[in-house]
Amino acid sequence: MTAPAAAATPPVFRLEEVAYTYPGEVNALSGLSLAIEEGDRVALLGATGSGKSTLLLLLDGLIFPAAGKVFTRGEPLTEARLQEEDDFRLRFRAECGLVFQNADHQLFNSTVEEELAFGPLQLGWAETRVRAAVATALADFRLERLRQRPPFRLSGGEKRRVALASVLIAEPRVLLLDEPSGGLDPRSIEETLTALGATDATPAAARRTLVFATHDLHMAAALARRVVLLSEDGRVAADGPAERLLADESLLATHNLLHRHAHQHAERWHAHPHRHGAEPGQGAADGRAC
Amino acid sequence: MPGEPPAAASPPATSTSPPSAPDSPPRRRPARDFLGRTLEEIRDFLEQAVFAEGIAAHPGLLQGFDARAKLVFGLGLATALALATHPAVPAAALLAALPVAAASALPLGLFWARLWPVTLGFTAVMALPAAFNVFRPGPELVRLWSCADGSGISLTRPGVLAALGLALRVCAIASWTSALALTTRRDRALDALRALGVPAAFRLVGLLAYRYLVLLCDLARAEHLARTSRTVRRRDADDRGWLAGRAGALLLRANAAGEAVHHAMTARGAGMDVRTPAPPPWRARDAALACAGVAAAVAVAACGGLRP
Repeated sequence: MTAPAAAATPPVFRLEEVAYTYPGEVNALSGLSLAIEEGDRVALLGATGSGKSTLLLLLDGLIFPAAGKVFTRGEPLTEARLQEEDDFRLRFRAECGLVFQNADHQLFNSTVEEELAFGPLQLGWAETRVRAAVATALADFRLERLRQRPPFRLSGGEKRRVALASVLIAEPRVLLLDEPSGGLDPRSIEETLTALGATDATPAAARRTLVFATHDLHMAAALARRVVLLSEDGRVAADGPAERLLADESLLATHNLLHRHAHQHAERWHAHPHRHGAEPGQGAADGRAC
Repeated sequence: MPGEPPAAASPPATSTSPPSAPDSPPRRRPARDFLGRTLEEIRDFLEQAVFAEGIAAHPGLLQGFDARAKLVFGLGLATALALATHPAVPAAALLAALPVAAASALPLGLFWARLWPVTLGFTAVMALPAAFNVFRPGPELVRLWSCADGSGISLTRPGVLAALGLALRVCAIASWTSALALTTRRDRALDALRALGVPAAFRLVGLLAYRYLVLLCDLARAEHLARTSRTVRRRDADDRGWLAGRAGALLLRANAAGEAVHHAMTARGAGMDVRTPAPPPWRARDAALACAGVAAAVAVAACGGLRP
C-alpha cells in the first residue's frame, strides 16, 4: 500500500501511451503506459526484443518516443528540455544513473580511476569531493589494484564492477540497470548482487528507486518488489508484486521466460519448468530442484 | 553403446600437443593471412597508444610540466627550428632532445630505431635534390658525372648543408614533438588545446576518436574470426574482397557502437564541453618552459635564423 503522503507526490516516471520505432519500421514499444513511484524496485522482464533496453533508454532521456509522453516527477522529459534547460538537465542527470548492458560501451576513459571520476566531474562536483568519492568507490568495489588499468583491458566481471561503480559513485536516487547479470558467471552475479545490496547500507540508498531489465528470474526475485512483464510487441503484459508474478509459471512460460525441460534420472525421464539465471552462490543454472 | 570403447578411453584430439605452462603469459602467434596480419598490426598500434598513456603517467622530467606550458614550448621550438638557417640550431635541438627524453623515462630506442629512420627516409626524398649543383650552385664537394663541355652534376657544399639542415630540422621537430606528446596525457593535451581557443567540438572528437578506433578494431577482428571459423580454405584476395564488401556494414556497426558510447557519456551528464579534472596550478617552472619556447622563436627570428 502506498502511504497517502507519498501518493500526493508525482511518480519518478510516468509514461503515457509511449511508442518507439527503430529505423526499418521495427517497433520496440507501442502504447506503453507505466508509472514508477519513489522507492520502487522494478524488474522489467520480457523475451529478447520486447523493448526492455529501449524502455530504459527512454527513462534515462537518451532517446525519445515517437508517440506518447514521458514525465519525470510530473515534468515532461523531452529532448528540447534536456538540451536547452541546463538546470533541468543537471538535476535529471544527477538524479538518474544508467548502467548499460554492454560495459564496453560504457567505459571510455583511459583508466579506471578516470572512469569513476567522469560522472561526478560532469555534475559539477568539487575536485576534493570527487577524489574522496573515487577513493571510497575503489575500496567498496575492490578496484584499487585496477586503478590505473585501461578499462577495456579488464575481464568481463571487472568491467561490470567498474561500470556499476562509475554510476553509483554519483549517488543517483534512481538507478537503471540493463541486464546486470548478462554474460556474468555465478560468482560475478553474486558480487553484483552484493554490490547492489551494499548500497542499501545507508538510509538514502535504501530509498533509491531501482529499475532493471533482466532475463534472470533469480536476480529479479532477489532485488525486485515489483515486476513489469513486457510482451513481444512492446506492451505491458503484466504488472504486479514480484512474489505473485514470479510464481505464475504459466505467465512466465507464455512470455518465454520459462520452458519445459526434459531430463533423465537413472531410467526415468521427466520434465519440469526450467528457470533461466544462475542461483547466486550456488553456481546452478537450474532454479528448481528435481 | 555396446562394443564401443568408452569415450574417456580415446585420446583427446589435442593430446599430441605439448601442455602449456599454466603460469606462462599467452604468446600471440603472428597471423599468416593478410587480413589477420593487418588487424593485428592495427591492434598493436592501439596497444602502443596505451603504452604512451602509461609513459605519460610515469614520473619524469617532461611529465612534471603543465600540458599548456608544453604546448606553448613545443609551438615556440617548432617556430624557432622552422626559421633557423644554420644547421647548428637543429643539431643542438636534436642533441638536447635525447637527455631530456631519457630523463622522462622514454625509451631511446623509440628515436633511433623507429622515429629517425622513418623521418629521415621521408625527408631524404625532398632534401636530396637540394644537395646537387642543379638547385644549389657553389663549391663542389663530389663530382658525380661530367659532360664534354666541362659541366656536370655534383654535390655542392651549400647544397649538402641545406639538405642536412632540412633533415636535422625535421628530425629535431619530430623528436621534440614525440617526446612532448608521449609524456602528456591525451585528455590533458586536448584540454591544453581548448585553453588556446580550439573549439569544444574538436576536443570532444579527439577524446572519443581513440575509443571509436578500439571499437572498430574489435568489431573487425570479431567478424574476421567468425568468418575464419566457418571457412575451410581462403586466399588473401578473397579476404581483401570480403573486407571491401564488409566495410560499409562494419562502419554502420561501429557507428551504432559509437552512438552507444555517446549515450553512456550523456547519461553521466556530459555535454559538448566535457569536464576533466582541473590541471595542477601553473607553477614557476611551467612559466619558465613556456617562456623558453617563445624566447627561442623570438631569438632565432631576431638573429635572421642565426645565419653566419
